Amino acid sequence: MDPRTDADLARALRAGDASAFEAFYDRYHEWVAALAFRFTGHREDALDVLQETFAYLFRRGRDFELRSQMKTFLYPVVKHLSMSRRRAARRQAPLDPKLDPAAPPDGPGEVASLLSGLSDVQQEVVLLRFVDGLDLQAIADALDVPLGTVKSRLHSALELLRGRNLPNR
Amino acid sequence: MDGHPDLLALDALRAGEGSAEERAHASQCPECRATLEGFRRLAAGLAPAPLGVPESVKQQILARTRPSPRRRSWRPLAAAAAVLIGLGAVWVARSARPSLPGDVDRNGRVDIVDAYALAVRLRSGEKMDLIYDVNGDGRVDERDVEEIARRSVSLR
Repeated sequence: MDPRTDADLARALRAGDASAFEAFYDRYHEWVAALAFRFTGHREDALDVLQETFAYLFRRGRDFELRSQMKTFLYPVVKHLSMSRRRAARRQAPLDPKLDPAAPPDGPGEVASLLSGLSDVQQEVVLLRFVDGLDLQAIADALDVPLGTVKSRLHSALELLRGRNLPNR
Repeated sequence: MDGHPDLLALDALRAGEGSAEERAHASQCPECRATLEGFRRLAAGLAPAPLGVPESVKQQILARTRPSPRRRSWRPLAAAAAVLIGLGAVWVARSARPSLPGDVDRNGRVDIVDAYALAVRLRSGEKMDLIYDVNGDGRVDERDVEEIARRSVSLR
């Protein structure tokens, strides 16, 4: 496990240190894959998005600046690549309802059940907070929205979720 | 503190954030404790199972981003090949020099075709080797073309 911080790794990556790229991969590949699976609902697509995401990071290497947390940098990249993949899949097989990008992914069905009744933007904030563990400012950075918007979306979502009989684990 | 912490504050406690005062309240207040416990169950329910990324994916990514050792090994090989090609070109150029004065097309005889070939090459501005100085005046020019033509039609 590389002991360097993400900021250290970003500086090293800019300097052309290949070990920094590998350390970023080791640190974030599981999260990126899980996030891509959340968007695509397909394991193979998620693994493809994982590769494309790190290829993008590598291309950015020389001018990569970590202005916030690493996850806030990666989140829009993974989301964009995943949505592109779903749109492409829909163009190839428009009659398959499972490939409709507007439809929820068919993988994490339990997530959809737990968050039913929440709007898309509320669900997105809850997942970033509860699953990805981002603080509210990082969520705002990842979504490129004001902090107040994140607070408002999360608060309204928590209001809806509070009264539910959530399953014990 | 006055009243209950709001939902964002309770969520902050779930995430290990929040103030000591809010934490103390939540530990004493059944209502807040129940809400907090509900949020913890939600977090557990939403946690995804690991996707299990194969090691081969990492190797593929690293292979795409690193210059491969195979490619690096081509560099000295390419340099050696360039030297060989250069030496070969010199050898070919030397061996291409006609052994027979005036044999421009190097077919082993001097004829009107050689005169024509030399004329064409002179008109193209090509710098000609003195091997084509068939009249021995130290230059390669139209006089050499005429000399080749004369020889090619002369009676042997």
